Amino acid sequence: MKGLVFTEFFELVDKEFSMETSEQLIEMSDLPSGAIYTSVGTYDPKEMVTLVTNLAKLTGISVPDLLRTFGRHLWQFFLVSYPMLFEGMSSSMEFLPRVNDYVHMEVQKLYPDAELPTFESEMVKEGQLIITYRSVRNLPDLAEGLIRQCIEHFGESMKIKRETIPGETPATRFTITAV
Amino acid sequence: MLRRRLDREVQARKQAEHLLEAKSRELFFKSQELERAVAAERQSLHETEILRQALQVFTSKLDFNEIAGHLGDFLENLIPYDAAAIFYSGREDIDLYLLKSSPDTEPFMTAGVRDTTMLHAMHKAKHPVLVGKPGNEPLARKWGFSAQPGKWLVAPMSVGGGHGGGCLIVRSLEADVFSDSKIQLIQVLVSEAAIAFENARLFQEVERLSITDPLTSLSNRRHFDRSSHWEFQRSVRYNFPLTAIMMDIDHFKTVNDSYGHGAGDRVLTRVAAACRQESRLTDLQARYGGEEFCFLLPETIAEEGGYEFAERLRLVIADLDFAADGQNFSITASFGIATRLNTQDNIKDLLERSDQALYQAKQQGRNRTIIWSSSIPAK
Repeated sequence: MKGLVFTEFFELVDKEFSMETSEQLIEMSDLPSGAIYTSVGTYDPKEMVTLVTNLAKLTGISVPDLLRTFGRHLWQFFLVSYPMLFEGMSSSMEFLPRVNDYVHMEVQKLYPDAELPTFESEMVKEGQLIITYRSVRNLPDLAEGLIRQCIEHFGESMKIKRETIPGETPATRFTITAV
Repeated sequence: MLRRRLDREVQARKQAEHLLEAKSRELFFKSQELERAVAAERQSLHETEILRQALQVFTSKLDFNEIAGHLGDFLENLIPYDAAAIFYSGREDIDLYLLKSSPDTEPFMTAGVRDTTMLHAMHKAKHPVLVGKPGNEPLARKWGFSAQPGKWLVAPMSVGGGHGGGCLIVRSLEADVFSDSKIQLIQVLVSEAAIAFENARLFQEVERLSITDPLTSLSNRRHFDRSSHWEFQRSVRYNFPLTAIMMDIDHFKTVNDSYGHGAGDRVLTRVAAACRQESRLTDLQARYGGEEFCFLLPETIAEEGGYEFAERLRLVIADLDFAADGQNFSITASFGIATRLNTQDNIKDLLERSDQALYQAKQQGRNRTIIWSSSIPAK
């Protein structure tokens, strides 16, 4: 998992909770990397699972809620750090299909080994988009947080229906409908 | 706690430095690779462009020398070479087109014109042969290349089904010029030229057929009519005499009836050969009709050159021996001569007068030459 997920995670914990909480979290997590993360590095995704689970224990907030919040935070991070990805975008229906094709492709060029989640998109009809999220890490809550923040960013009001798709590789279908 | 955090930050920063250095090295190599790929693409595009231009040029040419010249030029764009030649055989002889030579290669290449071993091998070949490549030594010896330095490429130039065929030989003294891909490219270029050569050959053939009588190989009537018209104009313009002679083989019908058409054909062929032999290069000769021949002699007047020629030919023809069905026979011919009178005259009238004189010769007993005069009655 790319380092920036970890660095942003700790930014979030510092901000939403406190630096002390971050230190406590690290101490109770026994991470092989020693919690030394750089955004351009790559680390074992299991460490993220450990961190999120332990944070839930520490704060009493459920894992799905934590992940959704993280998802929203990540969206903001992308917006600020990679403004060129959002150039000319005026709606979530416009942007979300690009994530897979454009965004992740650019990442793949630099980091051919990156195991990125896939966001297949299908415009079923005017005003209705289906995003199918697939990832080896399977963090649909994170994806949901990203999607929700994306919609809020464009100032839209949408209905989101979420379904788990059974199968070998876990997948989640988000049906987004304009209200 | 802050201390621990700072420690981690410092470690993370060091990690980042290493990772970024490695990444930038990786990208540098990638960009070099891309540059190489782009250069290769450009080269390939350039070569395709050459082939395209070559095809355009070749399909617009019908002259052997021009085609050969262009092939030499295009070849320059593909490889550096210091000697090249085309050997091409259209009908009987092998023609040599020297594209480039050096003192040491010229005698070798000109000698190749007489040697048909390589040409015959190339006529059937589909692929070029790189003389100098390991394994090709026996071929090199057989074709006489052993003494020659440098690498030679022998590329076949034959169009399937065509009768023409030949090959290009080209030498480069530089190393590594004849890579597999370069050889392929050269072969495409050479094949394009081969098609052009075949076109030129066919065009030549068509021209020849259109002006030649197939049996006697003399000019045919059509060609004679065209050429005589211009000859006449020329004689008026430059004011020199022009003499027309009509010749007819005596009793030709009898030859056919008695000995068959095969014998008749043989007579015509040998008479034609005699005509060719006795004529000058500047004279026009043609098979005018079935057994009728016509001559146009510039700068000649009836009484002197015209008469001399006709008489000479008449005697030669009378001397010919023929055999058919175990029998021997001979033939004779009659001649009628006329000269251009003045500027008011025309070719039609001139030929008409020589024809009248011929008729007179027949009337007077055949096997003779009559010069037209106004006393001869019109037919």
